Amino acid sequence: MAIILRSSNDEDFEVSLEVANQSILIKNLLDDIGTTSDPIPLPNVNSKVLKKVIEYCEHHQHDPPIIKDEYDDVPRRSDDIPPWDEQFMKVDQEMLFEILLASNYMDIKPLLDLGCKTVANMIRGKSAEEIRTMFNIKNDFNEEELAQIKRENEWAEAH
Amino acid sequence: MAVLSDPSDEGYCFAMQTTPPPSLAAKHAIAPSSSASLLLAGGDGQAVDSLARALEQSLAPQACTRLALELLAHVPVEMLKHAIQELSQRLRQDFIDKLPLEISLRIFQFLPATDIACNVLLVSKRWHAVATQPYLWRQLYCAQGWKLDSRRWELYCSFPRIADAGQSLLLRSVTHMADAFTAASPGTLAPAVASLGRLQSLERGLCARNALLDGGSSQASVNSLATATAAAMSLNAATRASPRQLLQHSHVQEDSLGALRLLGIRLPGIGDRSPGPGNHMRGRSR
Repeated sequence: MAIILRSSNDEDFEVSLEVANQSILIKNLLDDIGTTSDPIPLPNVNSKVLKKVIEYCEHHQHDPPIIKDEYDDVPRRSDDIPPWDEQFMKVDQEMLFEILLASNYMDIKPLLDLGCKTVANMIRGKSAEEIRTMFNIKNDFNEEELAQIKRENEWAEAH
Repeated sequence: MAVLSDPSDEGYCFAMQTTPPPSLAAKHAIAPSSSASLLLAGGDGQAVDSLARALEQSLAPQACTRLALELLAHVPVEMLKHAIQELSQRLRQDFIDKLPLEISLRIFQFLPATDIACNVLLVSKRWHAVATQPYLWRQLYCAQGWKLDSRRWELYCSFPRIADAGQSLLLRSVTHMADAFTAASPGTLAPAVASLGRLQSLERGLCARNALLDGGSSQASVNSLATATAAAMSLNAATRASPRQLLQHSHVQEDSLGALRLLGIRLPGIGDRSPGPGNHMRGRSR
């Protein structure tokens, strides 16, 4: 059974039910209305991003399902990204940003976490100034404010 | 960078055509005539800025791109490098600012607490605001292998407001809260137990300090006492510093909020003065 997903710019993508069901948004929808041959509109996702998201879902369609309660309690780590996923995430920041938004909207938790881990890994171990450069951020603190924040967080320096 | 080199780029394709569409030609006729004189008059940075603005307003984005590419086509490679560097900045974006809060928090959850405290908080005001969300620190606290005993926490939250029950009760309830933090592994258990042992003297010291500051009568002083006590406690656990060191530290008050973040909690009652006796400090722990 094929499901048709329609992007924000009206392009249709045919995917298998297994692939479509990885999006909890679509899974819930299909559970409610039953499988349908009508295109499912995704007004927040453009073709370029949807294509990428589908690529991810196709690769991961045979992954075991995640048990939600357990999932939220697992200590978070970001150094466990499998090679295929890491390669998949080698995209520019614009695409990474769009993938985060799309996976959040379509409720694809593993992809959302993959995106979040990717950004976290870009931040990890960098100084504030390096982070600003990485994401083109303007420092809007004055010296006094920075000193104050540093004082408040002296406890972390010793670690 | 991709914009400049992508052969499918619209500007490039357009340059292959021999005649521009009439609408574009019409726009061209207006813009350069006014801007050329500007250039002649100044020839400095200001004139270039005005020219750029005038063109930007009268041209479509595609035409602007094409124009920029044409202008760049013959500049020396050194300057081109500089231009590419400048432009590539625009491809970088402030994820934490632009993403919805829940995704930003999710990103930070994958970082160690020390990265957040030492670096992330200092990036910008927006980053600071996101990284000081109590929810995040609760997650980070749990990620350390520490747990909040919700039954004890409820007990703590159910203690009557200090205005009714007196200061000692609050102090005891704070002690209960300390009990509530049970450690999951021996490694993390040790500092937690050590901090409990020190609590007694810590309370007295803070009590005196706050009494001096506020006259010991106002709700605010009681609240700050609770905050500072809990905070110092968690600071203890976090840094393994002795209470004496903490008390000598002149920023206990300011530190308290940062330390509370480590606990991932907000003390009930703080900043929440509902009138009348008999109010209970209902949990705002979630």
